[in-house]
Amino acid sequence: MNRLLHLSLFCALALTAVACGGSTSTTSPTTATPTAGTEAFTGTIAPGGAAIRNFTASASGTASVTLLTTDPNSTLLGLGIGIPGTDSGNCDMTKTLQTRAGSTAQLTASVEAGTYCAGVFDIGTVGTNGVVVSMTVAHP
Amino acid sequence: MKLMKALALAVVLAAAMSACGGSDTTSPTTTTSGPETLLFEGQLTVGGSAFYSFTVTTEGLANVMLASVSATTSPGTSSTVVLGLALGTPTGTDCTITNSLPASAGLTSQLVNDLQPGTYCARVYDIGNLKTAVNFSVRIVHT
Repeated sequence: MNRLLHLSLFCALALTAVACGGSTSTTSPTTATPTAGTEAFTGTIAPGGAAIRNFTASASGTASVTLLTTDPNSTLLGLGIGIPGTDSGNCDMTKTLQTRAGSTAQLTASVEAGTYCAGVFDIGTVGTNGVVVSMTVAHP
Repeated sequence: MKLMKALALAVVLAAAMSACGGSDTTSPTTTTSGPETLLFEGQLTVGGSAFYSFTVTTEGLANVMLASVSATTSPGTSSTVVLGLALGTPTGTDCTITNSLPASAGLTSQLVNDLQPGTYCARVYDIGNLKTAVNFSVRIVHT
């Protein structure tokens, strides 16, 4: 009878150990992998202000920035691409130009894998009501 | 007697399950260390230079990118002026250059060097092209 009791205990412990072992080693951390694509955003620029968006290139290639629309229409604005600066929301611009909205990319730049920023900024043309902008960034 | 056996079994199982449950609170240990990205920003005056020291702990590539040069008088206005960009080793209050090239701002690394563990510096300097001070931004990515 004692032998039966020992056997039962042994089986119970063995089953528990197997169940425990199954729950540990299969979990691995999840890492977000950047992918190529086109990102769109809208924003409102106040006088003297800017609308900046960060993006991550997954590989080397060309990034294209398009100022799609502005409201009011045909507002001349600054458009730029660069790398995020030390201050949050700041973009250290590599290339900038002045442009109006259009459907063709106004600005392109060669990039490598990494984090970048693109944005629209006031060049003295934004009135007190601000300007609503929409922009896309296509990146590798 | 049967009751005793059942009780003993229950106690052993409860103890085992309790020990098992303890493992749920273990958080994952991150052992992967990726490249380190540094940002070196500053203002460069006519004829001036600036450098930034960093430490490499594992042999690997260091990528140095002069990412932005802009007018100090009109922030956000990019400049295509060509500056000196260099990698070197810190010496006293300066950076002794070991590898350099002229570069204008771009979003691909202009300087790529394989570095052994040690302390290095990235240097930006006027090579005679500046007519006025500029703001600059250099991205350094190393292992």
